[in-house]
Amino acid sequence: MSAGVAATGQSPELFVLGRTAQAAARTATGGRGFFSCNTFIATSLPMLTEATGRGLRGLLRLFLSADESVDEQERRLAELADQVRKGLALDGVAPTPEEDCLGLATLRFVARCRLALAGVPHVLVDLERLGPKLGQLALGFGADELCGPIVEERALRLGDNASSRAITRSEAAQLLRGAGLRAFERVAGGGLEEFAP
Amino acid sequence: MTFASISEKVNAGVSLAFEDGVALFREPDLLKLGALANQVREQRYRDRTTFNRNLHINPTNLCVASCKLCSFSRPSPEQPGAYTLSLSQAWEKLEARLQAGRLTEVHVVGGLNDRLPFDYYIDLLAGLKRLQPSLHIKAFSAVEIFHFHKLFQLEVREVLQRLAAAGLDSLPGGGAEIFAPRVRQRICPNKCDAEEWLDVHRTAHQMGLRSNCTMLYGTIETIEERVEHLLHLRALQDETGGFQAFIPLAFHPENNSLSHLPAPSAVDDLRVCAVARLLLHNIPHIKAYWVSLGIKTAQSALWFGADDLDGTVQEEKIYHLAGSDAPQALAPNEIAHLIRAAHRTPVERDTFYNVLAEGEALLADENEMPVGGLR
Repeated sequence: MSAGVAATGQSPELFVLGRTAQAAARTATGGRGFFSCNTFIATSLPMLTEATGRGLRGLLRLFLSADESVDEQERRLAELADQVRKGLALDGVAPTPEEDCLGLATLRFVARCRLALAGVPHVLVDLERLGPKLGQLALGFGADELCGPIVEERALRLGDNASSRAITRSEAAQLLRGAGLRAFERVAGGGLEEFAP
Repeated sequence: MTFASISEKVNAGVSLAFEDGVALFREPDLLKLGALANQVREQRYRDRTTFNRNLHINPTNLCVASCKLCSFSRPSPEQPGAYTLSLSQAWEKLEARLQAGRLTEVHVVGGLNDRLPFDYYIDLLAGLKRLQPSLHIKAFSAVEIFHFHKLFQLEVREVLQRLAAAGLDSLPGGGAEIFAPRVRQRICPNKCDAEEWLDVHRTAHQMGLRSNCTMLYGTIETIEERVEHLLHLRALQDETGGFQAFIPLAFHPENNSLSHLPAPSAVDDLRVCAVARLLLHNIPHIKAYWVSLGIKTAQSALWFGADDLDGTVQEEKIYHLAGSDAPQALAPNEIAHLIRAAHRTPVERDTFYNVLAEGEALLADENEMPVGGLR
């Protein structure tokens, strides 16, 4: 269990948890926020190993269900942190709430991921799962990267596309800037480009 | 104006000035702002969070105002989707809801229909009251009251007196939008102006009726115009003391003439909530209206100054036609769950914020079937 997580525990002191995680994220990324249009996120450790073996970024989805206790969450995160220390190639985690999870539980989990996984550079927000509103709030709770349906140009929300949660690259950059971060886009070849305002 | 000096004012119980409000809206650290608003909220209510059991009835969407921000109204009966409920249809909605479970309030608002006689509204309220005399009727925004005043050539006081005689118990807070004439002229030019809106509430308060107040944010208003709006509400409250709650209303851009504008972000939602709690020290309650904010943001708002989640609602049309993806209704146990999951204590209230159930009594009452709104 990391010191940061232990200090905040299950306390309703949401602000202490959020601000601690936010500060950790700002330190880790230098106040930068990222977004990427095509991101593969593994859902298990074997899949992660296979993905990194093929040269993909090491990203892992961390599911969260409403009935998991804080102790269980912290134990799970501590085990993962231990594996990272032993050499697991993990560039980012994407906290992924199950359907029964509410907003504040999700934000707390995002913060715990940032604080417990100090060796993991990025905490990702999957906009498909969190939506843009909760996703932007998560950027204030330790997340630093947006992923999911981020498109060049939004199609009309008609027919099969009626419930699409896709946002444009420009909107992704706006969400990052609205959370006080400089917006960078991940481009082909693993590079980063600051998104022009 | 530093955040520290504003904090000192808040701690000393000093009213915040216009410049303080602007500085709070510009404060980059949302969590710092939230923590201060939460401190004020907890000093007043600790972790208690209220809600009620209510039903919305929107009797007509025919409206002469043609506001650009609105997705609900239709200018003529020939337009697709235009409707006016017959009196029996409106009463049946309440009757059906009463059969499904306990209810303490009905909230009635609609378009500015120039084809209905005043008796329609009188009979509507009287019929609703007949179905359950103890039911609180919160009906007709100040904009509708002002419309009745113009259309039926009655003084505002007389409009209110006649409606009160038919069963009106309090006024909702809608239609305030943003008071700044610059904004009003562009987004709702045919609605009553700020002074007329405030005067309807002033008159209602003088008659002993309570009301709520609102601010629609996220269209074209500036931060300064938001602060001016809030200070107008605070000034009227200083004069009359009749507002019960302030409800921040997030603009929803779908299906209206302002759909080129983005919806306000969650950071903005929480910021408005927190600043309102700090500026409106004399208005008792800040409501996180989950239909407007969405469930997840509304739950988060309970840590950013809000102490009330509105109610079970059911059949809200105005926000849903503007693209709200919140459910149509929440069961009381779903609202209680939402509040507990935010580490708050749910309390069922009536319209005047009297406690109806809490603790064991509330738990005992939670066997109603959930409507699945949280999924």
